[in-house]
Amino acid sequence: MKQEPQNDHDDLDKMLARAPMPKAPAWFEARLIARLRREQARELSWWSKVKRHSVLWGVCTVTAAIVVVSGACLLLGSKYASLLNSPSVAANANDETNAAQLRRAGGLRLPGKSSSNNEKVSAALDAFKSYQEDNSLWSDSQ
Amino acid sequence: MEEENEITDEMLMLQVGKGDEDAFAVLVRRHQDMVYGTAARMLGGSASEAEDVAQQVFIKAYRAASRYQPTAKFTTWLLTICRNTVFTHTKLRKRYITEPLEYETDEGTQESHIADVNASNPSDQMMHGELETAIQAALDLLPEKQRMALVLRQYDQLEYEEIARIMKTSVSSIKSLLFRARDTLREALKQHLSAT
Repeated sequence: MKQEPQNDHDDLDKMLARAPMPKAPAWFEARLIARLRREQARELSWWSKVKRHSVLWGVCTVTAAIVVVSGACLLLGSKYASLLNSPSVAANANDETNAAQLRRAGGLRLPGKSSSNNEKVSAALDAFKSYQEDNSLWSDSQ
Repeated sequence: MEEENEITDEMLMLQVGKGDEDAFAVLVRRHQDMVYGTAARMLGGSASEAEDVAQQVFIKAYRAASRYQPTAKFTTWLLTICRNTVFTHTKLRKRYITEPLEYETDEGTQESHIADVNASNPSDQMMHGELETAIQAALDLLPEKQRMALVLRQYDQLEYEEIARIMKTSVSSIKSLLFRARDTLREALKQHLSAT
C-alpha cells in the first residue's frame, strides 16, 4: 500500500475535525420513547384482535369439522343402504329350482297332462335358473 | 447521575432485557449523539431522516435486549445495528428517490440541513455551514463501505479491530477502505485544503 504523506493526512483530519459530527437534538430521547410506546401499543392491539377472533375461528373450525364428518357418514350410509336394497332372489325360488332338478334327475313326472307340459315346465325352470345365475352375477358386480 | 455513570453499558442492557425502561433511557442518553451523528454522516440528508434511522436503531436494540449477550462491547453491538439499519435505509431510499427540501443563500450556496449546534455566532455558523456542506458532499461521493469506515474511524474514534467487527470484515480491508476514502476526500476537498 502507498504511504500517504503525513502532512496531507493531518490536514485532512484537521479539516474534518472542524466540522464535527452532528449531535442528537434535545428532544431525541423523548420522541424515541414516545415512538417505542406507540409501536408497542400497536403490536398489543394486533395481538388482542387475534385473540378476540380466536373464539370465532374455533367455532367455525368445529362447525366445519362436524359438517365434514356428517357428510362422510351420510355418504357411507347411503352406499350401505343401496347395497341392502338391491334386488335378490326369493328364498323359496331356490327351493323350487332344486326340487325341479331333483325330479328331472329322478325321472319323476309332474302330475298333469302330457310330456309336452313337462317340457314347458322344464323350459320355464331352466329359464328361471339362468335368470337366477344372471342375478347373482349382477349382485357380485355391485 | 453519578450512579448512572458507574453502571456499564452491558449491565444496563441486561436490565433492559428484563424490561427496565429507565435503564434503556440511560443507554439512549449515553449513545444518542454517536448513533445520530453516524446516521447523519452516512445519510447526508435531512435531520429528520437521520433522526428516524437513529430511532430505528434504538428500537431494534430494545427489542433485541432479551437476546443480548455481552460477548463484545456494547458500542460495537449498537453500531452494528446502526450499520445494518443505515444500509437497509439506503437501499430503500434508492428505490424511492426523494427530493429533499433545499433552499439557497444569497451567495447561491445551499445551507446544511443538519443544525450545527456547535457554532456560536452567525459568521461561524456560515463558515461551519459551508465547510460542513462541502464535507458532507465529499462524504456522499464515497461508496457506502468507505463512508462507514471513515465515519466510524474519524467521528466515532473507533479502533480498526472494532470497525472490522462492526463491518464484518478484516482489519486489512478496513485500512484499505480508509486509504481509498481519504484519497477521494482529499481530491474532493482540495480547494478547502489549500485554503487552510
